[in-house]
Amino acid sequence: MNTLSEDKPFRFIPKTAVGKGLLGLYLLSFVAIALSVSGMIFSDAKMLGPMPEVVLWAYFWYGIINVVLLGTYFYLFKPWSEAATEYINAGSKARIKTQSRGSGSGDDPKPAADMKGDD
Amino acid sequence: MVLTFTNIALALGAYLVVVLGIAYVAMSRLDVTPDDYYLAGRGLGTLVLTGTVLATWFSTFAFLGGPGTFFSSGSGWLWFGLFNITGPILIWVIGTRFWLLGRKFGHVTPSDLLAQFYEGDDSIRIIVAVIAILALVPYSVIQLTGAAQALVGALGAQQYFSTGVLLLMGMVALYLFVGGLRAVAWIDTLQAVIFMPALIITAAATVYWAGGLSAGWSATLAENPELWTFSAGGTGSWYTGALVWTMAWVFIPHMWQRMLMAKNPKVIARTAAVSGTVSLWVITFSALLIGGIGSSLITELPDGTAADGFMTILYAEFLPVGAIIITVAAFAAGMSTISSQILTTSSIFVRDIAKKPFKPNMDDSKEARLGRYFTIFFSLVVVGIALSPAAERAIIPLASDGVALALVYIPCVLGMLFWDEASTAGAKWSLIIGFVFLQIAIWTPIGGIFPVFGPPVYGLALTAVVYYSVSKTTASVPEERQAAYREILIKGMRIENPPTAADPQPSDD
Repeated sequence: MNTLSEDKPFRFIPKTAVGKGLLGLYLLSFVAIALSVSGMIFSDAKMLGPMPEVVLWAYFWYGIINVVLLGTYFYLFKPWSEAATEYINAGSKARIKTQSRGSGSGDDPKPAADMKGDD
Repeated sequence: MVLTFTNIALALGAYLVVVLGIAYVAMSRLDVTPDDYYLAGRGLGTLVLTGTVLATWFSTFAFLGGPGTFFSSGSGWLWFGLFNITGPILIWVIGTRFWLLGRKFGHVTPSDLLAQFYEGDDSIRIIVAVIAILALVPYSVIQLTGAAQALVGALGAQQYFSTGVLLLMGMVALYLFVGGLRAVAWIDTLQAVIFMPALIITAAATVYWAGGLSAGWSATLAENPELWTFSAGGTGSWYTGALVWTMAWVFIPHMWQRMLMAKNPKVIARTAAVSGTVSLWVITFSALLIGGIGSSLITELPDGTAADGFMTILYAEFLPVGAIIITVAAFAAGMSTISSQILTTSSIFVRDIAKKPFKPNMDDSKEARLGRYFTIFFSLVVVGIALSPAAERAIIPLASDGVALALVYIPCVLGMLFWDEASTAGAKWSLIIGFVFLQIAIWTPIGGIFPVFGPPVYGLALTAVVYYSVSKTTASVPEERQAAYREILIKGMRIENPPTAADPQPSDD
């Protein structure tokens, strides 16, 4: 076992009210859908408004999950994508700088995907 | 008479001309580097990436299998909506990490990522590659059989099945051979533009023919009440379907590679949000209306036709000219998916089976040439299976069996990303045992003995147990190698700024 366990900052669920709210809504949707699928509620072959109740119930909760999806995008992944773009761009700029200061060969290091495992 | 084979062939011919035009333009911009041939130069923007994800995701599986399965199984297919809207979350959790690591290390295939992390082990590279290719075989076969079923449904004669299979494969071979994946991505976008409106218009027409939404659904409930209810017990297949597709989808090799095609992280984040929303509200909801309400309009399928051809059967009854358009759209859906699957399997075979373990110095042009030969071989295999009795099963179960194989990647990917006790032996044995188990469970009668859930759920559990227990008892991946991956994940997945001034900083520790 190695000692990397203290470096684990790659959780995706932020410990904030918004983060917990999105996660809670997501889990609630699963429970609500499961209740119908298990035959407990909204599971009969009868109409509820313009559609069968199983369809309307399922799509209502899918809609809630869709809100979670979009909320997660704006709250978490849009900011992440901006930070990650900066990170990637910074890496590219550093590489270009290193090459221009080098011996002039300008060769990229061999992609790690091409490395054989010899360590 | 409008609905003849000649008219359908003419319409397909006109569509093929457009597709070849796009392939020609793509060819003129194509380099011979693997990045460009297989990953569209890692430069796709939101529109094209979303188009190719939707077109690949919504192959004949959703376009034909969706309405057909709502027709034959009713609410039993509603899980597909759950997958639509949950699957994209996994793009963010897993796909973003694939993208980051792929961009930094130059990964092209799933094997690149896993074999590199697991100590450059060639046996892992080959095992991952073999699973990937085999997982895509059933999914490729259904593209051919689905489009052929649409042709059969339109013309009402089973004799056109083999014609449909060969016609679709011929069309794909033409543009694939010249254009590579850049052509595929562009044509995918065109195909998404074609089949999404086709679904929406067909759904609206179905509601209209049924006399309105309420009248249509009421007639459906009166005709088939047992299909639109849930009861206690017997819902294991519902959960199995939702789990298999939600969890395995992002690990299916051709979707995995799509994660690597994004130009930047914004593209991948936007694509996930848009594709999930569109798929739920446009594609699956349209299929629900077509298959659900349509089951009150067509109560019994004509002899020799299958539920997968339901859309064309519906049009043949109510608006024959529409059946021609739907057949072209079905071919478009099939072409978009099978072409990317063929290219993915080609890249996997060449890089992970032929090149890296045995001929590491193979140059790029030779690699691209070998890839083209493999596309011919794989295409012939898929056509052979599509024309055999093995392909007589409906689209959905056949595709699900293939997708289920991708579940065996999950433990070793999660271990690679999140667990510092991940071991190479754990990865190897979990892949082998999970793969063998699923092959036996899916393709032999043994699969029928499992209670409540389908074999894929047990396969995933077994794979996870093997991975965990072997990793616990064998040497972990060396710290230096883990550190190279983890540094990128730590820095690349960090959110530097809070989303709003009012919100506390999201915790990333």
